[in-house]
Amino acid sequence: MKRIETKEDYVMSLKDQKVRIYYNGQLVEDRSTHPGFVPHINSAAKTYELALMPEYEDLMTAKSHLTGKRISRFTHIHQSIDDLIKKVQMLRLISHETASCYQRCVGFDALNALYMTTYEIDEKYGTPYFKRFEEYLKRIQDENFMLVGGMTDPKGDRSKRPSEQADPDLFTRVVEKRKDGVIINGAKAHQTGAVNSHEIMILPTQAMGPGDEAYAIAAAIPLDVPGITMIFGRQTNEERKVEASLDAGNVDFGMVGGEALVVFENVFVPWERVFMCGEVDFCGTLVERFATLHRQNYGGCKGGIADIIVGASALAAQYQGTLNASHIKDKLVEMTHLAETVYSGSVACSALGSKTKSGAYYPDPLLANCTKHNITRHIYEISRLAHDVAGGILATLPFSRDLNNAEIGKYVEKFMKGVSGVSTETRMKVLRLLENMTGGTALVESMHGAGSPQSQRVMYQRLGKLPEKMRMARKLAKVNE
Amino acid sequence: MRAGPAVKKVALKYCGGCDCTYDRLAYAKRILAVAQGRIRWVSMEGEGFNTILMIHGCHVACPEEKLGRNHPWRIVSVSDDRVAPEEIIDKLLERGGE
Repeated sequence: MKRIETKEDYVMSLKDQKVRIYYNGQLVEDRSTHPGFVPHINSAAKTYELALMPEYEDLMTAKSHLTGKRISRFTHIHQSIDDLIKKVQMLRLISHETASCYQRCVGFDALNALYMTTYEIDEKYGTPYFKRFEEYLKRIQDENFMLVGGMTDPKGDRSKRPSEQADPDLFTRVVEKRKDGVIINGAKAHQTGAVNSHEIMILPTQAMGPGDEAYAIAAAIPLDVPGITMIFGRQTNEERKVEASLDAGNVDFGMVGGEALVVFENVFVPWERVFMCGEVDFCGTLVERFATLHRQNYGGCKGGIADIIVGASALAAQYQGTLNASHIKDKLVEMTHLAETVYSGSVACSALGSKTKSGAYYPDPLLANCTKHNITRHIYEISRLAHDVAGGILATLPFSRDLNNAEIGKYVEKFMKGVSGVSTETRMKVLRLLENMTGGTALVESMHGAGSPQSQRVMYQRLGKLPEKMRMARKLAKVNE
Repeated sequence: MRAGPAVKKVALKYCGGCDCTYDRLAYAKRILAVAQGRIRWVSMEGEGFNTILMIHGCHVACPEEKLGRNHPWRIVSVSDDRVAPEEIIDKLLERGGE
């Protein structure tokens, strides 16, 4: 693939790569111009655009440890604690520019998790995965294409292991091993950015045991190969995306990342693109690493999004004359506290990161899980406070077409007006931005993106050092039992 | 024929901009406007400069921190927009052109 440098290169590359996507029951002819996808494309395009600006290069780019070339940070393998922190800072920065999800972190985290884990698989089994993966890494660093991280399988009956499912395709699996590669069946659900990516990196979805070997598969697959179908998920704002009016709230960018179900039906993957195949004992490690790297992000991206929610809430209050009320100021302070709390979690797990055998750096897993767990609560609380500050008008605001209607526009203009000096349209724009960012799909993404809350609580049980804490308590209480 | 005023070469370096406490880009634009005709801006990869203007979004000043103390350059560092752009330019031009 020709190297993608600019936003325009990126959009053109999406047009050029012919993929099979369904949106609302219709086959999409050109994904690069489809109104359902354009806001998500704009968000991802921002990562290309900012990387070319000297004002942002320190965060948006890095020096490749393989080639020495300057590359997009989204294709970089963390070489230090500084890299881990810069990742979080970069995410907060891009959130400030988009107030949305820009999707590339999933592929970024898949690359880092695989780099660390393939090294260790090879060490144990003498397999060729790490070397193979380094070659793949050089290519993505050079071509700068967009990679979706394919983690979540549909999973069917959650009480059963992959090999025990009634329908074996409910976990993505190898159905045939050939001399030149493998054939894959199954699906990946909730795939952020899939419809505007070029390749997918599939990973095993959970820890696995003997008997699940066919499901222990990690591989990079171009999204235009035969057998792949993507089905875009319905969001709470899609009609508004089509309207492209101020009612969309965040007119240029998506509400969330734009998620899709990616189906694999007898998809051939050559061996040079396979990075794990049957090593069930490494599935848990790979999944935990991906999850930790991904949970590390959320105080950066959602922290940045929370900054915009705080700002929009303050504007909404200003436009209706309540900004100086003490209870409004206090709510804005609380929202700021929560936003900085989630950000500090991301910085902390990065600062306490460590070097893996491969040389790549890895965040502290307990603190990374804690960060994401806070997101499942604090973003809801920040949004609740935003609703409180903005008032009931957030739920009852007329359409922008009413404002622009020759007959009734004067009523909307007159009765939706706040303080003098601020137009009704301005007030409506800010209220719609807040509505877009604090409800529906945006909240669910904070709950389940990078793993549902229970998956973090399981990690607390594993990593929380409870026996050590009991030992310390025993010592202070001077008891032995 | 009189020679025009010497134009000094200065490197311009921005921090990453993760969480700025002011609009550093608007402020930088004001500085660049005032410097017009007196300073030729180059990147850190460029040559022939001995002074760097570092535009930081906050007082952490990451690029300056990373540079450390053992470097050959004179640094003029900006972490807020409280100083008039003219004063920044005066500081940059303090040691004459080269």
